[in-house]
Amino acid sequence: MGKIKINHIFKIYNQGQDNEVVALNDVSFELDEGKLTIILGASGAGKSTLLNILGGMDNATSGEFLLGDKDVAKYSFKELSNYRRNDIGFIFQFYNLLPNLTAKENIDLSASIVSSPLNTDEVLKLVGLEKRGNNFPSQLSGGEQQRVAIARAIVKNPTLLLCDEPTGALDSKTGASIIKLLYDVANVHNRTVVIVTHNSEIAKCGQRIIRIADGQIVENTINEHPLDPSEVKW
Amino acid sequence: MKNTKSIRLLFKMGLRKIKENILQFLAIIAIGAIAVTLFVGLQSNAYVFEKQVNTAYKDGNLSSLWVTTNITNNDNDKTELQKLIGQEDSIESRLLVPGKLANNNVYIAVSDKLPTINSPYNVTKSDSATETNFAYIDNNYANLYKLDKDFDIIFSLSALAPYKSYISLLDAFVKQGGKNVLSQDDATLTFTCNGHMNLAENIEKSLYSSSYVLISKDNVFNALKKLLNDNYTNWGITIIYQFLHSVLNIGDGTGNFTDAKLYNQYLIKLKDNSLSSQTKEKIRNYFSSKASNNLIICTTYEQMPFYITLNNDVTQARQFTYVFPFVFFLVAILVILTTISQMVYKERTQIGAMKSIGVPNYQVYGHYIILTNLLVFIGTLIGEIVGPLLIPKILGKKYEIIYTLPASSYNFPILEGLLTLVFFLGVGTLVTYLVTRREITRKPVESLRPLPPRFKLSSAFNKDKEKVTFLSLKMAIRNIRFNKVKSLMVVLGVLGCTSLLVCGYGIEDTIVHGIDHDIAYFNNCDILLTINNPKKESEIISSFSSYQGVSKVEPFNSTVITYNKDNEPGIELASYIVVPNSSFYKVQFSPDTVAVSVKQANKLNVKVGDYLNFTYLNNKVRAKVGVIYEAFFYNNILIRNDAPFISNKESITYTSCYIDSNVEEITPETLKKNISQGRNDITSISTQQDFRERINSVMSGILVMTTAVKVFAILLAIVVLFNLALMNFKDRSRDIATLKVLGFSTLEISLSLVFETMTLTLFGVILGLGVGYPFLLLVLNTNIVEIVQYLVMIKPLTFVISFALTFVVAFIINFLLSLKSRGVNMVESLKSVE
Repeated sequence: MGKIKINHIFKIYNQGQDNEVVALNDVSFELDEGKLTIILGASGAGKSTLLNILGGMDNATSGEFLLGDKDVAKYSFKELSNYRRNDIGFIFQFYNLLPNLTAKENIDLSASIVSSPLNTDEVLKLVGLEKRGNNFPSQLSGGEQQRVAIARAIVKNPTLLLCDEPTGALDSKTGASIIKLLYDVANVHNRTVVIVTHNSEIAKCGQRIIRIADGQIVENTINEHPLDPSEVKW
Repeated sequence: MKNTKSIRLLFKMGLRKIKENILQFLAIIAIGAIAVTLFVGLQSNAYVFEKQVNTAYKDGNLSSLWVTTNITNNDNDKTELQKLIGQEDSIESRLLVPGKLANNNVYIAVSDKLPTINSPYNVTKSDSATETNFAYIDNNYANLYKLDKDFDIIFSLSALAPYKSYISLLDAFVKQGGKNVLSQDDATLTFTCNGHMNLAENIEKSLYSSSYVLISKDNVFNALKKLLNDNYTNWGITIIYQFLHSVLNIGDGTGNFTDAKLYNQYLIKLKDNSLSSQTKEKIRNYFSSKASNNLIICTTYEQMPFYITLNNDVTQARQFTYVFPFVFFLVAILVILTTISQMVYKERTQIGAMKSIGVPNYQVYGHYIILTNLLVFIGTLIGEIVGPLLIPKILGKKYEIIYTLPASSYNFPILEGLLTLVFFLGVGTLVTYLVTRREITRKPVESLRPLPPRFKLSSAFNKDKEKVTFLSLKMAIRNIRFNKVKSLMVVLGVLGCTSLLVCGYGIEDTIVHGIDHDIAYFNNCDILLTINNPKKESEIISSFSSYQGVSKVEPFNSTVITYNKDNEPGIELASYIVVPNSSFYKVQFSPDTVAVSVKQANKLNVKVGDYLNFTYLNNKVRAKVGVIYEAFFYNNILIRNDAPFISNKESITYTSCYIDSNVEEITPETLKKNISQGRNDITSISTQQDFRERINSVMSGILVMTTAVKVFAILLAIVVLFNLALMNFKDRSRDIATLKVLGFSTLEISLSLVFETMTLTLFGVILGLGVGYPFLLLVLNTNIVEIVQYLVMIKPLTFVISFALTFVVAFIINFLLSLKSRGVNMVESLKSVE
């Protein structure tokens, strides 16, 4: 995988109308391969919009989104679908597991659509749910559901793992274990992970911290000494 | 004041909900509209059709009784019959003879004056037409053969056969260029058409029934005089007038026929038609008491073939309004129930929220009940407007092909319309109340929490290696199991559509099977004909064997006999006197017994071995029922002409015969043409094809209805399946968005969606195919046609067609709708709180 570069991205809703909203205003940055990046911002800052564009779920109004030498911003519907299938693992605040499939089946489903997935059982073990694979999402706690969601994302062996407020619906202890898991995925398994959050404590674990406010990047720094999530006070 | 405001807000919320879920709600409106259109439309059609028929009977002053006798030249019978009826009843006499017009058999009704019973209506006449000078042809017949000026009618002169030797003497008085026309088998009289008309007894445009021509007595004798003038010298004409006067008692012998009387039929109009059977009995008693009984047949209006056929159609039009729409109503209710219950289920958190902020229960109930009833009201209203405008127009076109009826007028069935509205609103209220009650009775905290799945894992689905398609199937099956009520509703909806289709096609199958059955067992011949002068067995065989290509002639006699079982009241039933081992009537029974069709056996309440009492050829007979046979149309009682209980066998004469031909030599159509062209004693002649058309005509009412039902069943299927697919699509929009984020293609997502609906459709279709047969039995049992006995049958192809139609419609709708997953906005769909 090549470098991921975002160049002068704009996202404008209702362009030209009275209720025009500029969600992203000339945003540019680069992502470090195999590192954990934290995008930090208050509610409405534009961080989820940015994540959606990174995940191929939404299009930028203008600007470049370079994945190596390819501009994802110019991808067609089908190319975006393939991009999401092969390059992206997405983790949501509210998990979005398929309620009628068990934990293992949710992961299997994700694994079944890519050419070189990881082993489902190993991934389940990795997220600590090897004994809960046959439970339905409704039979799991929030933290467990989020672990399933993480497993479902990483089983595809994606280039980029995107997490939208992954601890937003969890208590601090469970949230810490989730961040720890994502931290390990980035550092131990060498995956590029992006976490979007409003929680500045989580930012301390990131190797790069991008702070966003009113649709603009106000800070883009490298954290030379990221904390292990277990050391962070929640 | 606060309450009013909350109600207003809830109402506003309801309207916004409609706007948001417009397609879903349109489905409710559509299903209601379809069901009501069909029900109210069919009701309206029944009223319109019945009104048209009654108008035709009223305009034509349809007779209550037809009394047919041998030809008489006096008023004696008329005078005596007059005494048997009331002061306000009326009687008219006429001469009804067969003839040929435009090469077709027609009935010529000759009367002294323009008849007031069975009178012409909708008449277009020229100035020359008067009360005593008329020659009216049926409107349809005149249009068909362009008969608006002079026309020729060929009459049989068979009545003059006994005087043949005298008539041959007239050869000496033939004019130059003329011929002794009275010595021929038939004579052609020329008339000037001075009017076109409709006639109540000629209401059926069937190929089988002959048309009617009304001609005044003066016109007939004027035409006769012209014929005589053209062919005979004055001396010859004088001799003929004298002959007519002195031998036949017609005219005064000088060519004046003003007082001539020539009748063979009396039409009686009773003020109270319910007295017709009683009056008929009196009439039969009168003729029986005469020294010479000249009565041929006395028939009430209810026994006339045209009346029976039309009455069947009117009855069917009424009966059909209840059977089929019942299924549509049921499916409509199911659709409403499914849609509303899904909506309530989806909004359970909103209900919880409303309750938690203190909105009273009745307002929550009211919100959903008003919403449902608003949709139901719109659907019902559309149906009530469209139904009476559309259905009678469509079915009326079909009736127009079969019958001559007055123009139809708009009819809204007020009572049925109101009852439908009340019924639907009532059902809407009840269904919504029951569905909402479940959520409202929960504690708010329960409503605010998502429901966990209520099923356990099945080991069959717990495989290690699973493909995407298998997981899609698994999701579909679990969705079905999770949403049991919705799934059941869908299965029932599809079941309804499929069973309607099976029933619709099954009715056609039953009719076709009935026709095929009767042709194979009772009418397996090329030509079936009836003659107007009965003949002995040998005469009838020799009479028709001489035609080119005829290989076999078998006479039979069709008559009406009164039967009774022991002391039970007598029933008049059609009976056939057949030859032993008949080639055409393939029912085997011994000569000392009678064979009875299932339908007639039911009427007589007899089984094999019971005895029937009847009188035939003055023989008082008590015969055993030897066989009870199945028949569709040929519902008769068969008596063999070699039966030991017929003492005077030599007196049996036959009016009908079957004819078989060598197919290599001649086609049935050509043979029919040859026979009808060559002679004038044929009352009716038909090929197997004519027979089929005749039965189809008799069954046309039911066929018209089933066609309408089939079309509506497909519409129903479309709406039900569209509603289901849409509901499914909305329910799973979050899942769809998740799958899209995971990178599933539109096709893969579509397949997953289609799996669920198609699985349910498959269940519904299979059950529908099974329910189709009992449903068909129910429909046929509530649509009893007097003249036929249904031999219920559903062809395998019907099951295939019904299966394919529902399944293909379901697949197309689901697949097209599932492609909408492409348009699902991932960000929006996944943004909301679970």
